[in-house]
Amino acid sequence: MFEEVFSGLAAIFQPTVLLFMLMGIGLGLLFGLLPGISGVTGLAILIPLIYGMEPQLALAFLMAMYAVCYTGGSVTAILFNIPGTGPNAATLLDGFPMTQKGHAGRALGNALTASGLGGLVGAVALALLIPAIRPVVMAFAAPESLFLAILGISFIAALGSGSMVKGLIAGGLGITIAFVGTQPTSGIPRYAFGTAYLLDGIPLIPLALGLFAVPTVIRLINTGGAMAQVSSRASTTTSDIIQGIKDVFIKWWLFLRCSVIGTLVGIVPGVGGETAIWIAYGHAKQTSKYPERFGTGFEEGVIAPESCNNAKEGGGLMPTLAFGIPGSAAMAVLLGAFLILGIQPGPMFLQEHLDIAFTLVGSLVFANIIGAAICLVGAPWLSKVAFIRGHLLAPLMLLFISVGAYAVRGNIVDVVLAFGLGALGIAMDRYGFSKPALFIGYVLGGLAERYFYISYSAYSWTFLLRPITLGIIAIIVLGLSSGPIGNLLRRLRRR
Amino acid sequence: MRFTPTTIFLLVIAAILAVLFFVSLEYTAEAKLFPFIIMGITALLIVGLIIREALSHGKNEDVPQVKETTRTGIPLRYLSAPAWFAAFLMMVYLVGYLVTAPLFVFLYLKLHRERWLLSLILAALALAAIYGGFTLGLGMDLYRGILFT
Repeated sequence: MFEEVFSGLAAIFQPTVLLFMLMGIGLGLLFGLLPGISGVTGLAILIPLIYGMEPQLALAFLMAMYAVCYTGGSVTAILFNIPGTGPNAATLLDGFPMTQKGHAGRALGNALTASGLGGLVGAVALALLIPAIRPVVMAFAAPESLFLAILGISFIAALGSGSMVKGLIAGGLGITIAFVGTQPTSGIPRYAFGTAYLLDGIPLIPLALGLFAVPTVIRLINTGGAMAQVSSRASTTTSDIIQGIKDVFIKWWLFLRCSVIGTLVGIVPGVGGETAIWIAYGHAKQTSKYPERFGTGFEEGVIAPESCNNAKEGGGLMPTLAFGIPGSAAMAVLLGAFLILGIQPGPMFLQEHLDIAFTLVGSLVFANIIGAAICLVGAPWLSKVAFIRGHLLAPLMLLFISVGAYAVRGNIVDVVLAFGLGALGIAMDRYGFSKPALFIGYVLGGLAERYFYISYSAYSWTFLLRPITLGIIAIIVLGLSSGPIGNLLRRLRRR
Repeated sequence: MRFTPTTIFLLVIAAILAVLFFVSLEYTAEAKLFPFIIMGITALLIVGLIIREALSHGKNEDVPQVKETTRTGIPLRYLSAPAWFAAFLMMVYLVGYLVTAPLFVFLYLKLHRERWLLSLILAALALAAIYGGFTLGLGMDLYRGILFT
């Protein structure tokens, strides 16, 4: 085991891997700094580039990109009152007032140090959890794996933003999309409508690009102007930034607690970074000696959410790697990247590819340190990226999305499909249906069907009565019913 | 019953599921069992949501704030994105990626009143990225368009 751990960690020091991680960090900061372009969009755009790459190189590149998105997002949150990404929203509350008071440097020092070190805590937690979880996942056979997949989809639906029923419908639709193509166990073509194109199913990359990237381009075309509308004359001095860095070490206990909150929340599928930051912010306020100072430009209000949002990614990788259950849209796209590279995360992954798991841990650590350092040094200049006009980005993004969709199979119909699925993405945004739930349903659909037939063939319907299966079913039922039951109880109490 | 946009969206999904359901009837039991379970549950949820939407009379429906509209009620600015996407696809289909990349970027920027120099630089960068990154870097044979094949 130690040999695989060291080989996985050593992989990130290979010159090519280092180079690609640095490129990933640059792109991740860019995506984070641009308001409205999320890490998921970034992952969807970059996935076509990993074809033919070595798995460790490809995954280190994607992980480095994604790991620093929130780090970049905190810069625009503090300087312009615009969260670069959703999980930077809580940083606004105290970060921007600090800028208005003339302490932008200190706020940046707080945020970027907490982000970088928070990411380290998440990565270390992941490294410690992997050996502990290995014996547990080996107890999972096909029936348990089937219900774990359903658990993942139902948690995304139940705990994600918006209506639970709409989330479940989206998840069901995602699984249905996965049915298109040759049926895995019988080899029968399904829902291909006599076309050769659909025999291989709906390809992953056009779906990811259509759902997550095309709507972003459409928004850029429609809005056009600068992505950040507010200007700021924030000044940052070195001493101010150093004071901000010191604050994190002085308030190390708060930082550690919020990082642990982020990691734990990340492990639970469906609870996104948008939720985690508010839990951390609320916790910081409740336990602070000065709760009245929150919202007025208080450093604890910056340290708490920022240490949480980067730590979450380490936790989020846990269910993705160990159980093959992505906890968020980004993790689902990352899971798609694994599948493209011919690797199936899940119970066997930690046995067969432990080195890759630790390469991901290493790339998380590396990206968080380098990403935070780059932002600390260059925040005032980097923040200008937020003022790039949408009209400059839109044609370039459209071009890259198109080439990305085409590049995978060299089929121009994939481009048309990606654009067409963009309409589905927009409709889902417009009417409040969860795109992550659909995508996770799609990614897990084929797997769930395979597990279903293996379970059914081996145990008939008695597979539903296995102890661990029953436990997972109970968790699913509890997860889905807790919201409606809670609402009902509240209504009854009011009466 | 008032048809809200959400209801119409749900009905479209339901119609697609219904088509898939009838197509499935011809498959073997192995090929249709799991799809039936999933599509059945999804269809039940859709029916439930449509009923809930109907009972709430679209109270929760977001109504877009539209100022400038066509005769059909579609905001004009929302038509520009599909038009650009269609133009892009048509260009790629006709002349391929290596011509479309600089030409589309340049035309898009000029039609949005960007400066000549900036438009030319970004068009050149787009060509360099596509040719350097994908053709030279990744060794990909990008689509050449029907006029050049």
